Amino acid sequence: MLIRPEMFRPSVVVIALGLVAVAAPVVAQPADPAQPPTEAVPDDTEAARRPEPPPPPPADDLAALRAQLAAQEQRLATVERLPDAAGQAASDPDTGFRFGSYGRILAGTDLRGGRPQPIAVVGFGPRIVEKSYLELDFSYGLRARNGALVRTVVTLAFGDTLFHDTGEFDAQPALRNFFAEAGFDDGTTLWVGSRMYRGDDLYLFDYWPLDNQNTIGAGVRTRKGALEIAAHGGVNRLLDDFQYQERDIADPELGATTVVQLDRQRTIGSASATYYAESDPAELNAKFKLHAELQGLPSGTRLRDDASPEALPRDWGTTIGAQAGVWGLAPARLGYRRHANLFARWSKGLAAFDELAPPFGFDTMLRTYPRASEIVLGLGANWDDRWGHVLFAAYGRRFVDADPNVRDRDDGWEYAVDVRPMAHVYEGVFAGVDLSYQARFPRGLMPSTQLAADPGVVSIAPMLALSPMGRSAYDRPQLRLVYRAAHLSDGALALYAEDDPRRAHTWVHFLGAQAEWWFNSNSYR
Amino acid sequence: MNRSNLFALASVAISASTSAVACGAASGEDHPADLPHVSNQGDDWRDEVIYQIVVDRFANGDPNNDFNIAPSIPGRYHGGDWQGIIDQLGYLDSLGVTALWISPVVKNTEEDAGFASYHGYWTQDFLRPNPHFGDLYKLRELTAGAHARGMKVILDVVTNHVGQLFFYDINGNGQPDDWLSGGGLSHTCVQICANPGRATECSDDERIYCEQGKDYLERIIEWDPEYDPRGVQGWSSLGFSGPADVRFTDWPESNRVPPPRPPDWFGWPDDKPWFDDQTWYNRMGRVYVWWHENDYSREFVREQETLGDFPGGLKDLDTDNPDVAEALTRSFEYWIEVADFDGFRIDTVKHIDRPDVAPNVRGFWGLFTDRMRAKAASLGKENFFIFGEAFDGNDELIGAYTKGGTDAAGGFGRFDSVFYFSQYYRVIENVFKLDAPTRNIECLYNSRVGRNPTDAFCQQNGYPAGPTHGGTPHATSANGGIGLPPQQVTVGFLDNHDLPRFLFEETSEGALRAALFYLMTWDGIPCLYYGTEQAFAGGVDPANREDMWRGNPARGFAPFDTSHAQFALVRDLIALRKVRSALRRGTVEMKWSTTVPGPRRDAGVFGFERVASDDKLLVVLNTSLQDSEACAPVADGGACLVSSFAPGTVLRDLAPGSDGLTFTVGAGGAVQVRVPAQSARILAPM
Repeated sequence: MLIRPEMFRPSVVVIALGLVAVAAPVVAQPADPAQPPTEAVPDDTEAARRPEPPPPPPADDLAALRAQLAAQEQRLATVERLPDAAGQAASDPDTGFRFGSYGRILAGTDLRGGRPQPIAVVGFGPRIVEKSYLELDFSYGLRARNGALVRTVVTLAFGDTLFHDTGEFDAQPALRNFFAEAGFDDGTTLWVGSRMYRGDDLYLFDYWPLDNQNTIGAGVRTRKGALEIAAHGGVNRLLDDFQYQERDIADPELGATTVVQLDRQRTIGSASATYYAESDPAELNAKFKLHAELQGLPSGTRLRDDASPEALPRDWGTTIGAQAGVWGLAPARLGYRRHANLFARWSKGLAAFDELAPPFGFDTMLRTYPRASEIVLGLGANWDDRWGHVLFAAYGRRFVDADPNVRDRDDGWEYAVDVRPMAHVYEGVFAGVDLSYQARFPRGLMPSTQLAADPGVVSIAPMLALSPMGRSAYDRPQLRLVYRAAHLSDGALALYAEDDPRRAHTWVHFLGAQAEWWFNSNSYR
Repeated sequence: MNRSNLFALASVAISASTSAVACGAASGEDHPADLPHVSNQGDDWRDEVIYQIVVDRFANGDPNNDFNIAPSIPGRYHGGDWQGIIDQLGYLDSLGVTALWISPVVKNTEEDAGFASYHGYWTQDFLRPNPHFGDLYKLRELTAGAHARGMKVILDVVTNHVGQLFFYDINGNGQPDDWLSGGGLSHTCVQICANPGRATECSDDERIYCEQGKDYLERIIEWDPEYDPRGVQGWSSLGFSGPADVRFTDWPESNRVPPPRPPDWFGWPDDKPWFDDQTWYNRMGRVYVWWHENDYSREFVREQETLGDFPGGLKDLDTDNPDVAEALTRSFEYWIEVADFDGFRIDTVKHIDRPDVAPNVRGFWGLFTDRMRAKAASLGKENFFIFGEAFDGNDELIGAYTKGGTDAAGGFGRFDSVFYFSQYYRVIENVFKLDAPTRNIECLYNSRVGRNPTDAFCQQNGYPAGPTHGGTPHATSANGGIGLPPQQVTVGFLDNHDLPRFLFEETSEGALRAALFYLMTWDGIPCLYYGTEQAFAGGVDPANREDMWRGNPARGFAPFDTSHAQFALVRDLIALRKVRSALRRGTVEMKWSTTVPGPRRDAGVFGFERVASDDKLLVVLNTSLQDSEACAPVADGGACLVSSFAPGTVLRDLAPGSDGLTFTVGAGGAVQVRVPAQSARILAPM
């Protein structure tokens, strides 16, 4: 069967799947159930969250060199004693067991007696109300004789099913990281496995506008001076009859046996080059990144419900993108994180869609390339200061699918703007507000009204936040008390099916408490 | 959005863009209803050649709407859509057809008894397009594309019934039972006709109905119980319990849910019911008695046909209810506006009103047709053509729908034309397939126009004096009508989606050739069923709804093949009709017909002239399997066809594929024309 729910209008999807509150927009959607944030710069954000290391000794300090050599000898000696990891870890912070986590959870009400709901009429709406999500990060590092650092990483992720919420003693984890990597002294790192592979995000939208791949594959990263080169190749094969289909046939002896009718892996390759213009954290630092992706999907044949064959052709996808980022302007001792990142991305074919969901809006040959396209411009920034901080994010996105419809509700552009100023009021306590606006401009008619409409949502969310680990907007854990009022335009309400009770509510509220943390992440390297 | 609201103002400030609009266009898009409409000014529907398309089976232009398709199963969706038709407009242009009749566009119930609604006749929502075929923009793109090529688009409209949206909960258990245990006759039969104390309440028709239908009526299916003259009744083993409760299904997966209330822009009062109200349906059960068979009175049969559910559990709307009539009327006014249609073909018209019985009762059609014309006129559209389908060989019955009437409120119109079923049975079936005498053609025509067919053959074969069809236009072109009398615009056809294809029953392509000559040279508006030009030969529904995009492998024809003789014949006949005004608009003058079947000199010959102000042609058809002449047997005097051409006029055969012979008109206009078997000569003066 060819059609998937997303082709049959967002309102239906919402009813069937209970997805995002207003309606899943028809433009390409992230299948990633919940994306943990990354701080904007530098790419190795996990490292950025850790305390600043002591400055290296001057090169001409012989005593310091001797100390370094001694430490090296001691480390090599430790390697020879493997698997005495405890001892190794004591002398080498990169080795041994490490636990990390990202988590967010909210408890609250919609003030109508129900569970709070995110509101999004765009592909990536403000994250002020998000579903709960948890990652448990486990890694183990080993130092080889040649100095290479070998790490194995496993990340379990849990969605929004909480026993204390549903009474269901069940939570199905997703294996979001499952890889091993080897890092060498020359700055080169190799990895193999299943991995979230991504760069910088727009925190307020939980959105990676430039590079965000989730594949099983391998990659390499190396840095020579100010230039960092990274490449990766991976595959996926979704359990969807767009990529995989089984069928039963008569067994040569008795009964039935299952055979694979369709088996086509999507191959995704990416490469990026980043130039760092770094100096003292108190100065202006910058980086410039170029990114490219190539996707491919082989041909195949699947069977419809009536056993008639349907040929699925070979398909392609390409992406090129760029990012310019600045950060710094604050001494490291202050712990401030000040940055701005500007993203641009242009994708065609398969790359215009999320790789963890089957594409839609095919051309007459059931291809997405070259007619489907996505253009994204994004801007994310944060300014920490003595008085508090301001987070900002905005993006605009134009999506066109490959189908022959010129006026098509799937096609159009959207944008979202979100700003969150927070003032420090007392010992790690901040008060502020999250203001956002999101709008979509589809090139088609709303199924429920048969009218053209531009859904829009304005949201205001005053909040109090407790951030005991520091004053930066990126210091975590953070505990918040939030009230959010979101106003849905007529167009936004029209995304709901006629009989959806939510259609009656122009205002959607949330009142509750949130917590968010991250530490020791292995995901964002 | 309430702009007085603080946050709404904030949103405007933040977005600096147009926020949501309550109606009309957004994102700079024109709503389809706001796009300009073609006027069709100065057009004449007699110039048209209609091409009937079952959308699901014509061309699949957009695989994205291939929801739940099963191309190998005839009774399921196959994937055709409006984009497919758009993609093939060039093909249709090359064939030469000038008007496309597309199957219904409204949203349907998905399935019923394992069959799908690919045909479009199972309405669930009168105001939304069927997503299997596209959206409103795509529909408008289709009509605009056709208009750009000079083609009109006719919408197939169903107002008699909806899909199987509810069942009669006869036993009150709240679920649709296929069979009720214990059997039982209908309420009227048991409680009234078989009750000595109430027997006087039982009409003769009802008594016959109960007696003759006894065996059949013992079966009760809650989806589709047989007609009960007093309405479907609740029943259990202990007896009858009053009118059966009606329960709408709530099966979203197959879209078998009550029709949703109309959107706000439709302006339907909140306090008025809608199609989800059971009182909007007649609830009498399924039509059981068809045709005027047995001893039933005409009134009883017609009552059943108009009040009963259509077979398949298609629930009959109470079109006598003014609210129902208004809702239907406004719904289809909307479709004219939003899609810029140029005409309507209307389904099952004899199941709504009975103008054959009560010609001066305005009824639903008297309201609906006049309102459609007025709506078209209000949009600047002239020549809005409305023809109805009365699936009946009775020429008086179907013709009654083309005649206006007068009631206390004044005169009213009805249909501009009907789908010419009487011609199908009398001529296409009898003459072209079964070799009946060609005088049948003449008889039927004379009945239609009131030439009072008095000869013995016509009378013996039951042709009424006529005129059986309306003789005056219902409205001028400027008022949305077509400005032509219905007698001149009957829609003739060889087959359609409800009939086996011509080649299924009569496998001779020669017979089809002869019938095509007739269709394209005879008066009225010819209507081709898609695939005729590809020699499709499917049997009854659904076998007659082949996938056009698969070609005709049995004949070796590729999809949309234009290279073979069958396509060329149809194309050339249409082309000839286009260039000869006499074939389109000319009057008909009979010149020869036979009353005797079987082989003889003039076997199967039918000769007639088409006379226009600037053109005149003599057409001589031969429906038989032998070469024949338009002359009497020598034993009968041997006289030949007498034309109106002057003696000495040389006539040249223009028929596609002809041998190019010429014929010279003799004394008194006589002309001896020999016509090859199952062919025709179309003779024009040189």
